[in-house]
Amino acid sequence: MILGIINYIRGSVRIEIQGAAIERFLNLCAQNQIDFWDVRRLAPDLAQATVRIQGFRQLRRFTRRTMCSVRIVGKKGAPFQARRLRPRWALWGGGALCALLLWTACQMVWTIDASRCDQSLQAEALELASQAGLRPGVPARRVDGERVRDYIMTHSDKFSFVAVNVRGSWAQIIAQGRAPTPEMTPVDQPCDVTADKTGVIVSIQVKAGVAMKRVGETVVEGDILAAGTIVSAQGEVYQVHAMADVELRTWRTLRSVMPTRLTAKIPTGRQKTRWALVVGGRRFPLSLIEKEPFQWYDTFIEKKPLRLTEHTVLPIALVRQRYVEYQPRPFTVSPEVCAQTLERRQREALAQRLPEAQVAKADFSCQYGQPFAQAALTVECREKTGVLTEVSGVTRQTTEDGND
Amino acid sequence: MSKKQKWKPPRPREEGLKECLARAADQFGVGAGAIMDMPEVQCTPRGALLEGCHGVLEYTEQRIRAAGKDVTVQVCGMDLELESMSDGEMNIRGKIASVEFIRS
Repeated sequence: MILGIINYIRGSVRIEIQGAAIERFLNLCAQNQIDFWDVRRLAPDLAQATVRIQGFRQLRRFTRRTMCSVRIVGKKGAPFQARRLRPRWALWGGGALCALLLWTACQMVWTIDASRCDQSLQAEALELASQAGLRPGVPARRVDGERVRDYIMTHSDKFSFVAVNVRGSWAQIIAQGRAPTPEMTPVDQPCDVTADKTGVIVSIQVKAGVAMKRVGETVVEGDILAAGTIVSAQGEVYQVHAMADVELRTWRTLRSVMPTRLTAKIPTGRQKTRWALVVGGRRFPLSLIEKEPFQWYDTFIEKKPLRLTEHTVLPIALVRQRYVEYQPRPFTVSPEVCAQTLERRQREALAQRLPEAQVAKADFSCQYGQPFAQAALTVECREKTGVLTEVSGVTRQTTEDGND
Repeated sequence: MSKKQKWKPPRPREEGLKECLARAADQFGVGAGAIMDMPEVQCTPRGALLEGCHGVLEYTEQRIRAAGKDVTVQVCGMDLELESMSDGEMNIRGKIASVEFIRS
């Protein structure tokens, strides 16, 4: 197949050889590096063969030596097609213009892929990249990935890692967000340990400082659990960096609501398709269809951009819109399904809100009604508490051996 | 009485340089055709490839004869065609019945 393509590009001629010494003629051609193929003997003094254009020009001098005559019976190939199309200047001009437009389009960045950025940072990354000069329609040669990366990192403190890759007409931004830096208190700085939750103390281990609460006591948010100010039996006051591991028993209640009257979409099986062409930012509809094909329908949109290679995406896309008809049907959710759904949602919300809490007990209740169902999930958790705060000076008097 | 002459085994024919090189080429699987300037044929019932030929002597739909050094290759069959031909190489297509080497 490749050989056929090459022969077509170079052009070939089908010749008819007539004479008494056809074999001698063929031998002379072969000895003089004239390649031919598809030789067919039609008669004792007649044969046909296919040669290249250059070969045909050379073999004419052998016809007299071998007393053969050569006649062209067919021409095939791109050179003959090009000669036929030569007077058509509009065609050549249009083809050149298309090639120029295509080449120009391939030199620009049309797609900026931010899918590998953190979800919450995609918009900011694209905005900063646009300020740095990376936006659709910009020549790819003018985009410096490292300069764009430096601009994003210096103009925002939300990113811990940024990479910008530009390949052809496709640019990719990879970014990861920065986790909030925990407030660190130096070890030599005096501080207290304060409760940030409300609950009942299950266990308390004070490693430094004076314990202000005992197991079983109730604490509220803000209570001091371990004080950094120590007063000795001799009345000496000195301050330390208090440290304590405190575990509380807490109770949480989550409430949520869910509608019990829903509308189900029953597909009827009918659908219509509408095509459109998007060039740059402009949309050109390709099908004549009324605006609303059905009374009730869902729309599914598929967009296929024109790609020359994996990383060369042109600003032309074919859009397919499918309108799928459905019939709405009122639907009532059963109490069991309501309860299951609400409980699942509440447990997921609890896991998201308190990922480190251990649930000891859970009590779920659901009130089914029309048009809403209400549910409450009460959980008893074990949570760690204790944040370092500035030393307050509040403490307990200690005895000589360090006890209260 | 005449003394009986002791029987001596015949002296082996001395191998020429070309024959030695051809044998070495066969050992290596290269093919001795290029060294000995002999035509080589790769043949299937649907076609044959002739290498090392000097030209075509006869070309009909039933018989194609090609010339080589000290030997003529004759291909007989039906609907024979020269699919391609270049200096020293010939590709024959058709229903091949027989391939003969005729020493001259």
